[in-house]
Amino acid sequence: MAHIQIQDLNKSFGDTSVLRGIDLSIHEGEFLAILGPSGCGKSTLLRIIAGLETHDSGHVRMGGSIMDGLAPKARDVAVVFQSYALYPHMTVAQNLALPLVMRETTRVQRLPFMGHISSVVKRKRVDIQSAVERAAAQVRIAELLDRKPAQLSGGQRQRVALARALIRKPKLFLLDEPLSNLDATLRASTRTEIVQLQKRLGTTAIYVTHDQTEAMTMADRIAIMIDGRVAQVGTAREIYDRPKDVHAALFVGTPKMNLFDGRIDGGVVRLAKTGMVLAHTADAIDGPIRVGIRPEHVVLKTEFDEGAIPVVETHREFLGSEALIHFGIGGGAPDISGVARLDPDALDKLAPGQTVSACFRPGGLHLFDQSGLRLELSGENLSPAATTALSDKETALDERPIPIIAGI
Amino acid sequence: MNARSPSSLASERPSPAPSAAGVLKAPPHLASTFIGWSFVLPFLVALSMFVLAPTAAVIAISFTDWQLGRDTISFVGLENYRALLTARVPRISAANTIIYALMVTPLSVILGLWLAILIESSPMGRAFFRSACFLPVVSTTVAMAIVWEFLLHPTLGPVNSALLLFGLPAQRFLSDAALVLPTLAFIAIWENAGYTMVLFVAGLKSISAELYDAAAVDGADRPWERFWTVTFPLLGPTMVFVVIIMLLRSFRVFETVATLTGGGPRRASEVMLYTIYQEGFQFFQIGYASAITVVFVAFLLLLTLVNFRLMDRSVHYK
Ligand SMILES: Nc1ncnc2c1ncn2[C@@H]1O[C@H](COP(=O)(O)OP(=O)(O)O)[C@@H](O)[C@H]1O
Ligand SMILES: [Mg+2]
Repeated sequence: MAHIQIQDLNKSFGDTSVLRGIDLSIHEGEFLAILGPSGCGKSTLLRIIAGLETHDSGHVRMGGSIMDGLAPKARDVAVVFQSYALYPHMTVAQNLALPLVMRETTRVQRLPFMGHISSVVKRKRVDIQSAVERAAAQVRIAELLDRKPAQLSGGQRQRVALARALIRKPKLFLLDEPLSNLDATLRASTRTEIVQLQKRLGTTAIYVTHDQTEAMTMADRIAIMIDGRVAQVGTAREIYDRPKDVHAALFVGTPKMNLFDGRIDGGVVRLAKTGMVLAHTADAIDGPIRVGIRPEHVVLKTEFDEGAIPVVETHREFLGSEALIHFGIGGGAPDISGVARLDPDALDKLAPGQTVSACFRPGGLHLFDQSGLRLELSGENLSPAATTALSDKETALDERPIPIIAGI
Repeated sequence: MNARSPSSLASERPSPAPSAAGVLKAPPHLASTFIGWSFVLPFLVALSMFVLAPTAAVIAISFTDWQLGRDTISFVGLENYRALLTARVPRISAANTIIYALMVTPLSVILGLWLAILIESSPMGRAFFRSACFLPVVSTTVAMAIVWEFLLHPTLGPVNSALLLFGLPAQRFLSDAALVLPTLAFIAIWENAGYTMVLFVAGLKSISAELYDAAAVDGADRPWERFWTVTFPLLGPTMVFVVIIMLLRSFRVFETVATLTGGGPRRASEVMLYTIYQEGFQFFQIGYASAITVVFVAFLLLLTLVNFRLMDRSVHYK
C-alpha cells in the first residue's frame, strides 16, 4: 500500500484554480520529484501535504490515515524551504534543537531555569544536545553550531535547514526547491548528497523543483505537473521515452523535443505544411495531429537518399560532448524549424549553411492528438522508441539511417 | 599566448590616448567632489545654523546671569549649575518626568505592538483600523488636550458621568495630585500607540511568512509560541527604535502640561520642559534656564547612547 496517497485534490485561491484534481501515490522510502514550470502549483501542493495550507476538496492520506485538517506538527513531516527559513536570532544549535524542544518538552519545562530545578528537564536537554550534535555531524556542520545564520554561506545554511528537517526523524521530508539559491557547482554536489542522505535514512521524500536535471538525477519517480494537473508520473526514463502528454514531452529534455504540425490521412502520417510522409499506420484515425521528434533522433546526412527531407542549417552550437544543429526545412517551407543533436566530430563534415538531408531514427516519432495526449499507434516508424533509440549516442553524418518515406 | 595586452592596444593608437585620458580623468574627479559637496553642504549649513549654533549659544548662556529684557550680562561661571543642585523645583520636575516616561514608554510600546498584531491578523478592515489608530498622531496635541479636558471635566465630563453610572465616585483627574501624572500619561499613551503601531506594522510586514511556516512545522504553532519564536525576536530592530523614540518623546512632554495643568496641582505635574519654559520665559531667568537645558540634553544624550548599546547587543543577528 502506498505510504502517501493524494486523492482528487483541488485548491483555488479566489477565482484562480491552482490544483485541479491531483492524484498521486508515493511508496514508503521513495524519492518522488514534482517537476513543473514555475507557477504550476507545486509549492501549493507541498504546503497542503505539510498542512500549511488548506485544500478545497480531496484527501491527503499518510500511512492510511486521513490527514485533512490536521496541523503541521501533528503530521510528522519536515519541510526544507526554498529560503531555508532559519531563525536569524538563534544559533545553528538552537535552530536544530527547536523542533525537539517544541515536541519533547512542555511549556513549563521550556522555562530557562528549569534545567537547574528538574532532573527530568536536565536529562531531556542533554538528549536534545546530543541529537543536535548527531544531526550536525550527518550534514557535516558540526563546527558551525555556535554561529548565527547570518554568519553562514548559502551552502552552509542549506545544510542547517537539512539538519533541522532530519533531526526529528519525521515520516516524510518535503523539500521545496532547496537548491535553487546555490551556485551550479554546489548544486550538483548537494544533489548527490541529499539523495544519499535520503536513502540512508530511508525516509520518504517529496522534492519540488522546476529543474529537470534535478528531478531526473535525484528522483526514483517524477511527477510532471502542468497547470495544476499531474501530466505524468513515472521514472525519468519512462517520461523521456514515452511522454504521455505534449507538455510533459516539451518540459523534459534539453533542447526541447521538435514539434511539428502533422495529420493522418488514411493511415499515412504526414507533415501538415509540406505533406511529407513520415510514417504509416494501420490504425484508422484521421485528422490533425502533432508530431514530436527528439533532437537526438534526427539524423543529418550529406548524401540524399530517396525521400530524405532537405534541410538548411541556420545555426550551430558546440557544447563539448555534443553539438546542436538548428535547421529550417527547405523546399518551399522554410518556416518549419527544428534542432538535431550530433556528435561534435560531425560538425566538421558539415559546412555552415549547407543543405543536407534529414531522417530520423526508427521509432523516434511521438504522435499527439489535438488535445495534447499521446497517440499510441502501431505501424511503420512508430514502434516504441525505447527499444532502438539511444542505443548508441553517435548520430554521425555518415551513419546509415532509415530515410523518411517520401511523397511530397 | 596571443591575447593582446592593454599596452599593446594602446601602442596601436598612441596619439590621442594620453590627452584624451588627461581631459577625461580630471573632470569626473572634480565633478564628483563638487556633486558630493553640493549634497552635503545644505545639510551642514542647516545643521550648524539650527542645531550646533543654538546648542553652543545655550551652553555659553548657561555660564552667564542673563535675564530676558536686561541689557547687562556677566559671566558667572558655574553659579547657575550650583543653584540647580540645590533648587527644589527642578528636582521635583526631574522626578515627575522620569515617572511619566516610565509609565508612557512601556505602555505605548506594548499597546502599539498589541494593536499592530491584532490589526495585521484581522481578516478585513486593516486599512480602516490602521488609520483610526493613527488619527491621534496626526492631530494637534493641543487641540486633543482640550477635548480631553472636556472629557475629564470633574462635573460635566462624560468620563465622570460614566463612573457615576457604575456607582463609582467621580474623580478630579487633572486637579488631584495623585491622579494628574497618570492621567497625562494615559493621554500620551492614547496618542503614542497609533505611532508605535504603525512602526510595528512595518516591522511585522518585513518578517518572512516562511519563518512562521517553519515554526508551525517545528511545532510552534500556538499564538503565544509563534510570538516568542518568531514575531518578537524578529521585531528586535524595530523594538530598539520604537523604545528610544518613545523615551525621547515622553521626556519631551510639554503641550498637555501647558494646556491642561500648568504643572499643578502643587507641582504634581511639573515636568522638565515646563520648568525650563517657566524659568526662561515667565521668570526671564535665561541663564538659569539654559543651565537646566544643558543638563537635560546631556541626560537624554546619555540615555540614548546607553539604550542603543544595551538593546543593539541583544538584537544583533551576527
Ligand atoms: N496565498 C496565495 N494567494 C493567492 N494566490 C496564490 C497563493 N499562493 C499561490 N498562489 C498562486 O497559485 C499559483 C501556484 O503557485 P505555487 O504553488 O507557488 O507555484 P509553484 O511553486 O509551482 O511555482 C500561482 O499562480 C500563485 O500566484
Ligand atoms: Mg514554488
